[in-house]
Amino acid sequence: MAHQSIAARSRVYLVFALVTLCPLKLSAQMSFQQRSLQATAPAGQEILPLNPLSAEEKRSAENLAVADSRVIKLLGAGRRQLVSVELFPIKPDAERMAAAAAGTPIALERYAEVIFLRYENEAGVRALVDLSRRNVIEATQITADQVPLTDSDLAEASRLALSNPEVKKALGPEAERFRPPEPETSAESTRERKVDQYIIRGLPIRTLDENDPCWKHRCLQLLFRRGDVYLTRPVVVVDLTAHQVRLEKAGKERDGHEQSH
Amino acid sequence: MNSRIRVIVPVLWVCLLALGVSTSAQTTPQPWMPCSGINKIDQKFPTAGPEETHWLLCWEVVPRNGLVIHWAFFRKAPTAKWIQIFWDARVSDIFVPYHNNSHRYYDMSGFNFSLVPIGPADCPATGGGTPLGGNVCKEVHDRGLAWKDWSQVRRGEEVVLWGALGAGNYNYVMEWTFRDDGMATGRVGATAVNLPSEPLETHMHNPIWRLDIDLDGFPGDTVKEGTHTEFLPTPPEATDTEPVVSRENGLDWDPHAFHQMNVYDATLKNGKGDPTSLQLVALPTGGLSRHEEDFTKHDFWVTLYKPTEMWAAQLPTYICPPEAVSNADIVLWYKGSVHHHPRDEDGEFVSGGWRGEALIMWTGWMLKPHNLFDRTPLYP
Repeated sequence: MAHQSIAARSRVYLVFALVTLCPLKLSAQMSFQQRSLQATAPAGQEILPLNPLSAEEKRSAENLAVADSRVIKLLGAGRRQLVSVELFPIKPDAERMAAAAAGTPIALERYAEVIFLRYENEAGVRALVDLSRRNVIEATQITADQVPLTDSDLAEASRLALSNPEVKKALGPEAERFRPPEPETSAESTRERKVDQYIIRGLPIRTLDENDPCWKHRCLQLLFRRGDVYLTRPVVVVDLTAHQVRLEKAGKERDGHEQSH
Repeated sequence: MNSRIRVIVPVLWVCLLALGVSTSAQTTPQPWMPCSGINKIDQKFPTAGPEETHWLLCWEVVPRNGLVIHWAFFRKAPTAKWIQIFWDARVSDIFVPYHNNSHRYYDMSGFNFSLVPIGPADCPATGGGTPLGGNVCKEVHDRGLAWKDWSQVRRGEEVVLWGALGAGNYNYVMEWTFRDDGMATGRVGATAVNLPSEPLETHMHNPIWRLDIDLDGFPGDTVKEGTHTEFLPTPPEATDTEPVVSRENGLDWDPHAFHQMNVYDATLKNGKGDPTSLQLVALPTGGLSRHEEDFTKHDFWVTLYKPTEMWAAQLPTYICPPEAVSNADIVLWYKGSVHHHPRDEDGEFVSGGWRGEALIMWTGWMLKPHNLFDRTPLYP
């Protein structure tokens, strides 16, 4: 009986010891994880190196870029457009990568790639911004065809097209109702608008034909959608480089055949 | 006394687990993950029951590139080492030339297109779906038979991430699948509305993937071109060879040669001592196109990793002059093709317009482990 009592008491001590140690161990683990997060997380917000850029980081990257002397020189004093600010992951060295693979938090730099369009002589400017050190580590000029068109370009192309008498005539009395879509925030809002929407979408076009007016120009073909129907005509191409609007023939009209509607 | 034991045993078990001295001590620690929240995928298989295999990866939505994968790791068993598979995997561009050469569209690099919103109708919970961030769907579900042997059978599972890029009149569904057997696949599906000005004009959608594969880390990777040869008519034998791709180059896929790009690490071997590789296998839908543009003249490209080399149309310049890619940090590129020959099922002309939807058409590839496991996975 006495033996049983001692054994039972030992078990209780063991449980007590383990219950005491458990939280200590867990607490130690948690504080290590918190420390590793805080190494890259400003202002108490969890920002890990490959998480998407926050709006604040994008603003910061843009501001750092436009304040950099090399970027200023490349952009010139004329009109410019901010095209994009995106995370630009660069691999760590092999040693750090191996450590990360084994479970050890590593310092992984967080870079943003900022792209601008310079309208004068149409060229792009690319700045690589180190968000941790808050400086521009590289600024280069890129060709205009490496700079994607944007929603701003679509808005400008739409404005040019809708002020063109030929386009207005071709679109008829509904011309003024067409406009580029608002940002689509949810699938539900998109579906709600679909029924009575008059929207303009754009497709950038390139050509291999040196005689084509869009050869090496920034051109957008505009697509007019009324509800769930896309208009087959007019075919509107806006040359943003030359600020010109052109109506093209649709499909088989080019080959001398009328499309059968 | 019995009641005490009933209390003590579970408490002991929980505490031993927490102290890391139980069976879980033998599981390998997870890689450090530089992403969190919805951008981190942590998927063990099978979804119910003890873990057999496990994927860990990050994803991000990037304007122009859509849904991009970063930092992907796979573990073949709870006690096995985590193996890095991808540093970065993305669709670099989608090139769309029309047969009549009216225009040549670059549906990714030409415009800052973004992913379209999705909701429960796109990504239903009944299909294992979870919408992430409003424009990406994660689906975890049964993938059909993993193997069958008379009365014995095992069904497999997979985690799929997809998002749809809204590119003018088209939507491009970008799909990344990570399977319980270590296979990864990538597909692009073209859907939505034919080009309104030429809805009946045949054209090609060419997605070009940039796959930065880092097998067990990036140093020391080598690409070998898997090639099958039949010596017909005599002697009726066949052989398979694997010449090393020693310098940056564009390579062609021949269906009769079963060409595939096999990525080896300098030191990685399985438990049997056999070298592990990942085999990039084309899954063309009917064929692979060639066009006037130089970057479309090959199906595969092997380049040395450079962080600024991201755009498919620049590929010919990336390999000039060709640098050594043996035992190096390599990037594989693959161009698929969807030959879209419009049909009545795509839609119809209605009072001055075009109405209807092109049903989704897919093309893609698979990345298949070879000698990663020591024995048949998902097998008792």
